[in-house]
Amino acid sequence: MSEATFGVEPGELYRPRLVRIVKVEDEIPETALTGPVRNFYLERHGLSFRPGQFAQITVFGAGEVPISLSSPPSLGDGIILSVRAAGFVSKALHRLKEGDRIGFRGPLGNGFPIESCTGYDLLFVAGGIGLAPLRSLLEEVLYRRQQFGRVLLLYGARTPRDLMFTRSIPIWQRQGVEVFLSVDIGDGVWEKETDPPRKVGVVTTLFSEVTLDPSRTVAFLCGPPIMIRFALLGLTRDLHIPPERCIATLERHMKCGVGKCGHCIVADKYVCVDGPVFNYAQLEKMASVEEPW
Amino acid sequence: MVRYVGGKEGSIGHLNNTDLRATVCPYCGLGCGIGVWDGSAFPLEHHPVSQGGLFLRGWASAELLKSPLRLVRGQIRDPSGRKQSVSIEDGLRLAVEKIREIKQRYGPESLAVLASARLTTEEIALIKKLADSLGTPHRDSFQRLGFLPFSYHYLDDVEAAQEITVIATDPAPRHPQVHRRLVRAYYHGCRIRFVGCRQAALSPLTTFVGTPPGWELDRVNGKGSGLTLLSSEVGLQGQGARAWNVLNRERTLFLTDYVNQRGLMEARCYPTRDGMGAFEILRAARDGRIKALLIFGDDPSEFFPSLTEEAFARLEWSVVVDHVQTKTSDRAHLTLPGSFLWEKEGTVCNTEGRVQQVGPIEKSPTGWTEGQIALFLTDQLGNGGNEVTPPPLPYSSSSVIPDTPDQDFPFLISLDFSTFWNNHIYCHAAVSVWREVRSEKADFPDGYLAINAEDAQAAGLRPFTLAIVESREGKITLRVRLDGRLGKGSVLIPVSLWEKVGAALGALSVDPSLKIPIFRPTAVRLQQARQ
Amino acid sequence: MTEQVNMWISRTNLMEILTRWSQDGMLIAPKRAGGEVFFAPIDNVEEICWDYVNSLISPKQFLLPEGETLLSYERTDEGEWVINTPNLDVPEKIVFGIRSCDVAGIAYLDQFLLGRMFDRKIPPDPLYKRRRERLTLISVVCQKPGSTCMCVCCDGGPALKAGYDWQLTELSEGWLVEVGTEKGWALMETVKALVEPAETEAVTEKEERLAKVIENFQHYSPHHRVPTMAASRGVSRSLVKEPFWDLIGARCVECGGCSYLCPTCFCFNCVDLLTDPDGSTGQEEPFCPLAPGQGAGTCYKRVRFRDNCILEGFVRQAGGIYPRRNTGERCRNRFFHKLSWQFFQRMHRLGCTGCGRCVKTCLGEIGMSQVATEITDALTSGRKVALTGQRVGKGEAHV
Repeated sequence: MSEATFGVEPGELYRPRLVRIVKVEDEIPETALTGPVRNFYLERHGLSFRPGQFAQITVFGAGEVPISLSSPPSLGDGIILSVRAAGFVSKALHRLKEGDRIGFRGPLGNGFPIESCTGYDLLFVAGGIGLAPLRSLLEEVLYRRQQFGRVLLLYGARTPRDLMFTRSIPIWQRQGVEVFLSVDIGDGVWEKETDPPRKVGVVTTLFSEVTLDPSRTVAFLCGPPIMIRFALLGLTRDLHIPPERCIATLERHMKCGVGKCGHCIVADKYVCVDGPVFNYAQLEKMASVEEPW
Repeated sequence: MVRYVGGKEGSIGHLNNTDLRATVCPYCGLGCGIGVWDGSAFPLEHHPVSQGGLFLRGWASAELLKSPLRLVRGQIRDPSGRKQSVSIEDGLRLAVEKIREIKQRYGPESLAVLASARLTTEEIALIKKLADSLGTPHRDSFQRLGFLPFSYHYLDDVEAAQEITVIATDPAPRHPQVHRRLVRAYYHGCRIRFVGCRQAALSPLTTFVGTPPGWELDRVNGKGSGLTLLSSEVGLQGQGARAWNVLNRERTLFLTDYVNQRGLMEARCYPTRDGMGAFEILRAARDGRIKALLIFGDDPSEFFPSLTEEAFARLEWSVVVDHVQTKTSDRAHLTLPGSFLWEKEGTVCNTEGRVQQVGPIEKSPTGWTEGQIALFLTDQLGNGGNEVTPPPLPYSSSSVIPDTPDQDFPFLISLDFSTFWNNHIYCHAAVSVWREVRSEKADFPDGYLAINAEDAQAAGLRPFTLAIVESREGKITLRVRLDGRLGKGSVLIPVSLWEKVGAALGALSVDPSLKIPIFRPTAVRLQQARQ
Repeated sequence: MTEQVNMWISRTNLMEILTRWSQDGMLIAPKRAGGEVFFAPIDNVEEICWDYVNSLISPKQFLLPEGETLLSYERTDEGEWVINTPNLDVPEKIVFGIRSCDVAGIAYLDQFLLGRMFDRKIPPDPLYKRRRERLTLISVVCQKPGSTCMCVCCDGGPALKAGYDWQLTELSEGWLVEVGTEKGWALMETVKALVEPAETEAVTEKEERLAKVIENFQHYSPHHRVPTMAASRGVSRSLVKEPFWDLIGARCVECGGCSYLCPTCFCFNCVDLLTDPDGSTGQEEPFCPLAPGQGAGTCYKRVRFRDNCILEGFVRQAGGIYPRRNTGERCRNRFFHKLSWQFFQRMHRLGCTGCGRCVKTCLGEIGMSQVATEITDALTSGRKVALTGQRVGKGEAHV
């Protein structure tokens, strides 16, 4: 990848560009334990990126945080960020409205290896807000549906209220995505419905619901650390998918995003530049030093 | 400039701006030597305390020079609460007028003075003299905390000791240079024993004796030959007089919390037998018995925010002289800017009793120091009284008796000093330190209840959920935080909740032996709150 | 004139050269006050301290100063934000008297901050690059190592093969000058009247002196490469387990001193600070950003502060997630980064250059050499303490 497509001008490595928020949309309401999630639609200015990449978002007056891009590159002229109000900067971001400007530095990171997956069946495993970066890839795949085999989505969240993109799920189903849902704690109503197929329990319990051909499947994962850990185990051990084809994204709090500040080191990898997308073989190597999840 | 005496004598002279400028760390009571070089702080290698090392707070201390919380202008608050800038000279003139008026109307006993352990000994002496000349016996400081006047020992003695008992404190976060000496002593084969309700960082390498909070002294053979280390925790649990009676005074080292806490005591700026302590002064102000309060660098709202608010609402006149903006200075009628320790000349006295002379390494933004302001006020208002020397502490030999846990109330609640970053306002004013301090606050914005994981499980409490803490006198709801180092049967709350929880559970009281507010370890029971 | 020729300067000529540089205001050299040695701009060459081991403050501070502004932004009256990046213009400086360990440290920083260590092209840090280009390193070979020095164990000295612009070795008659870079040769051109090519005897004398220096190391010698390498193997292959790191962590107080002084540490934290009209900067109280639409004319600076991986806040993620929760885990991360083969392969050298500053500053006696020795002991003592999952009891703790 050349410097020009690195996403930032070499001389102005730390300078964000000004981007206007076009639309703000509520995704998940606030709960007792977690903050609300909102989708921020941004102007794109012809920026090209790959699914799985992230950007450093500046909320003026608050600071800069890494946020993954959750819209597909093929989607017209916008970029969507799905952000939970969890920390100092993300809470400040939630206070912004349509028309406000934020700083955008990116795209950064390596992104999903989508080109090398053509012809394969794709299995997406997401937990909670982890669906946001996977959505970028999932929808990109739907833009190029013919290049891939089956597309499956296993998605789990804490409660039915915490499920993201519930408006998009029926649309994905119509485009041929086999969707399976799970929640840790049901609410009595949600379990009664049958479409899409669902279960109460952690997302890994959905593995027994699907049948697939491990020799032609690539799995993509994103979610909380504990989920990634168990899902990777399940995928390789129970579903027999080779570790090289289990691909997960890691989350760390980068300060620079460009391999300078040292905050995102996991074992000998810098998540911002070497990642955030790693396959299970790489992750296992890292785990021999310290657990990346 | 730093000149230090005692143990090793030496000095580092005045140097010009492009050089390393030597001074003393303004945080804890050990007084590390700091060299300011190109705008940031570094440890002095040949200083007897720092020996090339500093704690995080010290490393970040140069940030205090240009902190946004610096006070650089005088401010006066009108009755509606609006603030206006005022020059220091005009402010002082107004203060003199007001204090004279109040003294005439209500008598000198309606005035009170609070000093600070962040000032130089000379300044504290001037502030004490101001109180004397105003004729008021009420002078003290919240930064005296649970100070106990134990005999002098050098850190070298800690390093060389064969047997050390550390009571109720963890030197790793509180007095890191002592931690360092303990590690070295450990390598020399010293037997180290920690006594307390919570394990210290070094406990895995040494012996740990678990006790309920407030009962540590029962497990100590005070007359033994070993060296005993303790800090304010003991006094703040009401055990001040007891520690004084039980421990071998010649073999005990008290670790002070503020850079010049010992200087504060040596300048005799604590209440006389008739005078009120800082906490009682604040209560008297709330009850309308104190009419005017002069505060030099002290911050009562760090510990008692509600009481401070009530007191300041009732006071007829209040002056806060400080170089950082605090919640207290926000409430004062008149705020006057002072100078930072690095901007003045004077001496500070560390925990060992080592006197260090410091000289200015930066120009004061206002040209006024707290000492000069006190001197000005003494000149203008003086001759009301004679110099009064308070008797040595403790005043009485009666201790506060902590609760004993029983069937109904099986836990003892006390203060968590492991998250107590003394000199809180300085921590707040330095960005690098504040990030470390605030993660606590970000995770638990309303404070927490620290509890051992087994206890939590037995009581049905999950982390981050709410628990009802109930004593015989009242109850309060707190968020659960698991603490792996805390022993069974004890629960702790952060020092910032001292007032709130103390009042709710009836644990907040006054220790007459030291005239300080205390958190009496109180028996409580826990239950899960409905979420 | 780029062929490898060594030069020779007489004592008086070296003083002449230094005087010239100091008159141009370019010279930075070690100075001493009250026992403390530090680098400072030199006006008068008489002030230079010649008899020193090293300064406690690492010369990396010239390249990564504390509180450097990355960018600033301001709200206009129309409510828009304007971003400004600093146009950094630093004067040419010559650091004289820097030690080999610090030269090796700067070479390590170059490798990382100029983006060379990644398998794809990463733009360099612009501020670091600018400062680096304007800094000339004239190293002086140590002939009297200090008690904590261990450069011989980690390819950090006493003399280097590359990385310096000039490397000076004091000989009985004068100074041997080895020139390491084009920049060094260009500098040599400017003083060519005062230097002459070195005789072979001079090079021989240097080699002899170096051999003697290596003998003079107080606690470490080239034989101690063995512990360093064993420690390296231990961390690379995770042979030392959590209980060992727990005990290291028990001694760590999270002061950050090790990485603030380390010549190869570069981690930083970015903070957006409100800039006051009178120049004081700081974070807003109480950590709450301006509500949008307020405060036209307010100006913020994004400042980078030195940071270090030992601190709990370093790894904190939004919502209170700590990937490395206890001090032991964070210590392991630090020593892995410094000692492991994995990083050796990426950086082409150990992350430690053996300056011994962490040993001097550590409040828990867990400096690099101390931990390396403990790892070696644990790996070779036959006691399974550090290698198994068992927790260590009292008395065995020093293993």
